[in-house]
Amino acid sequence: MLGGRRVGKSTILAGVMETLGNSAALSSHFICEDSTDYKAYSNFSIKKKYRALTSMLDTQKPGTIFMTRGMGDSKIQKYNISIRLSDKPGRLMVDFYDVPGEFTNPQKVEFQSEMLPLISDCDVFIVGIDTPYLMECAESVNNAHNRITDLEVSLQNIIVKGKTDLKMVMLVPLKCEKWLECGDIDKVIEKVKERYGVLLKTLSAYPSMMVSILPIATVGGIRYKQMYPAMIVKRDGIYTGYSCTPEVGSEVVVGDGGRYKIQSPYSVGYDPEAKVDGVTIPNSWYELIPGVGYAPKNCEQTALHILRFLIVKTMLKQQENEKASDGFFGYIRGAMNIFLNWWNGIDYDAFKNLVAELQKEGKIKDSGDGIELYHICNEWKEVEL
Amino acid sequence: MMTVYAQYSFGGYKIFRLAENAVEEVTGLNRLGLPQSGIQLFSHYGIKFICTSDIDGNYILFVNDMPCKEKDDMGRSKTCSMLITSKDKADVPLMRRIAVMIAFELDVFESFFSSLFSIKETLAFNSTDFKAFFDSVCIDASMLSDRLRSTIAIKSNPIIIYTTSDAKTALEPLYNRFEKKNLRKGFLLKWDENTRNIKDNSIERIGFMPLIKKIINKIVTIWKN
Repeated sequence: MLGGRRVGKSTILAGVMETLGNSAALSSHFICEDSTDYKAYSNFSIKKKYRALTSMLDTQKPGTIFMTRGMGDSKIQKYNISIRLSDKPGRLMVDFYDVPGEFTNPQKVEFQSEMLPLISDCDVFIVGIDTPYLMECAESVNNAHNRITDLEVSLQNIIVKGKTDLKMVMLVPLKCEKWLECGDIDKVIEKVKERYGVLLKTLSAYPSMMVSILPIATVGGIRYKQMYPAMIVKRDGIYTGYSCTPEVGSEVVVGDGGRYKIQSPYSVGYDPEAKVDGVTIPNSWYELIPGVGYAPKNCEQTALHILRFLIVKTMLKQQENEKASDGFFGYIRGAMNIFLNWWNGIDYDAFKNLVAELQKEGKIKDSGDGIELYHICNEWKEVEL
Repeated sequence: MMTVYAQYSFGGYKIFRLAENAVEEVTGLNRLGLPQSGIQLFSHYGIKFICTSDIDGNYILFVNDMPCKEKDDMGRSKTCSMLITSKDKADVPLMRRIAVMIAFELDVFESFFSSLFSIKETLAFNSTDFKAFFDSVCIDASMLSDRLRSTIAIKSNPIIIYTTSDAKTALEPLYNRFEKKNLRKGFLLKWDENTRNIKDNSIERIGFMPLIKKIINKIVTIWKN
């Protein structure tokens, strides 16, 4: 999972798990489990992150504006998620790597030593896009915050090892509630194509590459309201962690929506941390959408698209193995695959049948709500679901 | 000569070299002597504390993921990490003493180290207080009166405190920068995040028995399915 700092990458995964587990249409088919060792990450689970986000629906009052100031992660987090069919044993294990936004920058020391090996190992790349910055900010600000140029360089390092070694890049515009609500989601997609044009063109030129655009609304009842310069409350000249709006008279709104009168020893100053590669980044503020509550949109599509991709990739590999199964080594390889599938208890045919069924019923969306398969590789077309 | 680095969030998490009166950012073009093993330690969770030498001959003392006072809306703390490194063998005894001192009072060191950072217009680090801490370790002989501490300080085995459920998960990613055999000989201690302390009786063995147990468990699961 790639993208700028605090764009909401972790919430993509949290949204996926929440909707796969709770959506009436899908929870009868899937059981989604998180077996991540959270002891490694100070016990801060993905569910906790999601709950903190959705709790704003209860804590915020209509008519107020608020913002979140998540710390972001300092290190790569590996989430172990398993997807199981509700009526079959065996789990499909998927490892998600949540990468700090800064690591995407090729100028950083972490890029060469940590990011490059990871990029060459992964099959699916989820690029989180902070939609309010994409739609409302100047190109330089959006470029810095969403790390577009860095992604153009980073993703050139995807290694396709052969014809059947499919890779998939999903551009996922997040926090899309405002544009979905007023039917302007096509404008978001247009902007994605414009601002990520170089990246999309480069990726489409790759062999065995799938590229899709998949806008989602992770909460539903919270929409973007306005950008404000990043200000922070100071006490005796030292910066506290409290973000606020610029002063109107002597009054400010702090992140949790409360209004405060600024008086000594407090003062307000520009947030010196609100800079990415020398570009000053404003804060995006949000409001509740009255009467909507928790109503995520298309979060489950990320998981369904990944699942379909993994099944197609496995099928292609199996087809290749069957073709090459002549001779002693082919026999050994075939036997190994059968053994590994048995060992993991995965019934790929059952997964395949379910994915085909969901696709037929239109539950896996390839269009509508701005969803678009931007580039389909030839290998993908060879597989019939 | 010992060099001190820290990872701290100032416009995103960055690695800095901490010198007297100067906080310099480490970049890909200007690594400021940061060893490769240091980058790896700064980039991953799993290891809370490690004191050992890497395959390139750097002696390393690393403390990971120390909570700072500042918290976000989710109640999550900003964190910082520290790395002390040296190529000079003469520095090893002192580093070892510092390591023992920190390892046995990790929570105290965490709040001390994180309090040394402040943001005014730029990021500042209180190097005077940090130097005073170093000096106190040099002259404080009382720490060696404790038998366990003195043994660990004198021996050369790595000291490792891990946060993962088992030591293997934490150690495996390190094998490309640290010698596997050496790490396995280390004092392995488990960190308990709830009590913010080292767990008693947490020294864990890695070997064939846990592996055999794992295989038996797997077969039992498949059989049940």
